[in-house]
Amino acid sequence: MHWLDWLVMLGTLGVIVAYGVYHTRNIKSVQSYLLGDRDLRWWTIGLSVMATQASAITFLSTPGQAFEDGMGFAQFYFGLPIAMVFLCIFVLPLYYRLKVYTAYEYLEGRFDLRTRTLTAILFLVQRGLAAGITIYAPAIILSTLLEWDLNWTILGIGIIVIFYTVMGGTKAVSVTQKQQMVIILSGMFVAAIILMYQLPEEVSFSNAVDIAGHMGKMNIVDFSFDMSNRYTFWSGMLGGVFLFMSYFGTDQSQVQRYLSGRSLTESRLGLLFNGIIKVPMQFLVLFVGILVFVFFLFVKPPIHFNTANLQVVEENQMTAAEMDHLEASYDMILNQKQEAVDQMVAAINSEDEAAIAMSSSRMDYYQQVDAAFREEVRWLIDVASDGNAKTKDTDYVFITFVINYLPVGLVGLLLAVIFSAAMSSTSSELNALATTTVIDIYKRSVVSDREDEHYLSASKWFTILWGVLALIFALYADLFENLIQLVNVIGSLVYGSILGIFMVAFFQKRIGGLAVFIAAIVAELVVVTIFLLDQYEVINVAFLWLNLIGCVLVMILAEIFQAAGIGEPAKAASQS
Amino acid sequence: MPADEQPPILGSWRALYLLVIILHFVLIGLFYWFTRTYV
Repeated sequence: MHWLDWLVMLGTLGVIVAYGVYHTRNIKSVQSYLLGDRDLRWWTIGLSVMATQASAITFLSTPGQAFEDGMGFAQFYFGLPIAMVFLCIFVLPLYYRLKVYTAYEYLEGRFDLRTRTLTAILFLVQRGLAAGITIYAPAIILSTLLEWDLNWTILGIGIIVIFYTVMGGTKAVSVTQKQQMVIILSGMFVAAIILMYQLPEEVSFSNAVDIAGHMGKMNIVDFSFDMSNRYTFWSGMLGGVFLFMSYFGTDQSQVQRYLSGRSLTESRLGLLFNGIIKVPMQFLVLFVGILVFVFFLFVKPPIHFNTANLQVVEENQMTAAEMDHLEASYDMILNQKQEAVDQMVAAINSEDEAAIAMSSSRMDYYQQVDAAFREEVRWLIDVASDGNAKTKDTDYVFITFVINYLPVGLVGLLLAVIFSAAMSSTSSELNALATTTVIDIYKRSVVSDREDEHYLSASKWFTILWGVLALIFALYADLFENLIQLVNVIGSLVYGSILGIFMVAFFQKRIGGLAVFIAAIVAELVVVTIFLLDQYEVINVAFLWLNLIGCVLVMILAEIFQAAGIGEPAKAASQS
Repeated sequence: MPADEQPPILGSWRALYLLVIILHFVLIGLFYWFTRTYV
C-alpha cells in the first residue's frame, strides 16, 4: 500500500479517536459514562444509530450483493421508517418517563426480575458473540487482500475501540460515530463518482444504468407475495417492520444511542432522521455495487475475487493445471463478452429496440457462461482445500475494486471507511454490553449498595472484559466457522420473541410475568422448529418472517396462558 | 408521560410522522418506477 494511503487512513482514524477521547475527558459519574449526561442533539443521535447498525461488513458485503443479485436487497430496509415512527409514538416516551438506563430495566417494573434478567442474558450472549464477529469479518477480508497479518489486523481494530470506549463511555461512542458516519457517507459517495469516471468515455451514466437494467440488476421492487423469496416488498414491509422494531426498540446497543438524547424530542428526531436517511443510504451502497458490476464488464475481472482461495488452487498440483486451462478459456470468453457489451452500448445509443433485445440475449448467454466458470473455480477451491475454504467471494468484490482501481489516497480513505464502520458498531456493542452487565446484573443482583465511583469503575472494567472476550473470539473465529454461522442465525431466531415480550409489556396490560415468560419459551421453540424445517427443506420460509411469527406467537400465547389462569395477575399498569 | 414538546417543524408530531411515511412511500414509488424503466 502506498505511503499516502497509510497517511490518509491512519490520519483519519487517529483524528476521530483523538477527538472522541479529548471531548469526553471529564467523565466523572456513572450517569455521564453510561448515558452521556443525556445531552446529545438529534443529528448526533441519528448518525450514531446509523453507525451502530452499519458494520464494516455492510460496506464490504452489500456492493457485492448488488454485483451478484442486483438491487433487490434494498427491500430489506423498507420496514425501517415505519418501525421508527412506531418507536417514537409508543416506546421512547415510556423509556423517557421511567428514566431507564437499559431496555431490560423496564421489564422488571412491568413483569418481574426473572423476565428482566432472562432478556438481559439473552442480549448479552447474542451480542457478546456478535461483537467478536463484527471485528473478525472485515479483518479476514482486509488481511487476505492486503496481505496483512490477520491477528494484528484484529488486534489493531479491537484495541483502538476498547481504548476510546473505556475512556469516554457512551458519549465517546456517539461523538466518534458522528465523525465516522460522515467519513463513511463521503467515502461511498466519492467511490460512486470515481466509478463513473472509470467507465470508458463512450459509456455515459445513463448507459451504465441501462446496461445494468438489461442484465437484470436494477430489480429494486418485487411485489410478488412469495414466502420463500428472501427480499420482496412484503417481506421487507411486514417481516422487516418487526425486525427493526425489535432491533431498535429492544437491543441495548441501539436503545443506549437514543437514551443519551437531550430530550424526548431530540431522540425522536434522531430516530426519524434515521428513518428518512437509511433507505437512500442503502440504495447508494447497493448502487456502488451496480457500478462495480458495469465497470467489470469493461475491465477484466478476476475469475474469483478471493486471492487466498486462488493461491490454494495454484499450490495444489491436482488443481493448478486445471486452473491454468480454465483461466485461458475464461480469457477467450471475456474477449467475446467484451464485443457483446460494446454491441449493447451501440444498440442503446442508437435506441434500436431489436438490436438491444439481440445484444441483451447475447449478454445473458455470456453471463451464464461466466457463472459456469466461476462455479467451476469454486469446485476447484473445494477440491484443493478439502472443503475447508469458504468459496463465496461476493464480500471481496468491492474491496478488490478499491485496492486495484482507486487512485492513491482514495484507497486510504475507503479503507478508513471500512475501519470506521467496524469501530463504530463494535464500540456501541461493547458500551451496551458493559451497561447491561452493570445495570441489569451486577448492580441489580450482585453488588447493589456501593457508591457511584464503584459502578463507574465497574463499567470501565466490564467494557474491557467484553472487549477482550470479543478479541479472543475474533482471534479464534477462523477455527469455528460453524459457530460464526450459528451466531448470525441466533440474532434472527431470538429477535421476534424478545419483541413479543416487549409488545405484551406495552399493549397487553393484564398479562403477568409468568404467562409471558412461558409464552416466550414456547414461541421460541416454534420459531426454532420452523427454522430447522426450512434448513432441512421440508418447508420454505425466508428468515425475515421468523421475526413476525415469533412476536405474534408470544402475544397470542401470553393471552391464552393468562386466560387459562397460568401464573400471577399483572402488576398494576403503572408503567404504561 | 414526559412533557411532549412540539417538533421544530410542521407543528405536531402526527404531521411529522406522516411526512416520514409519505416520503418513504414516494421513495418506494421512485424505486418501482426505476424497476419498471430499467428492467
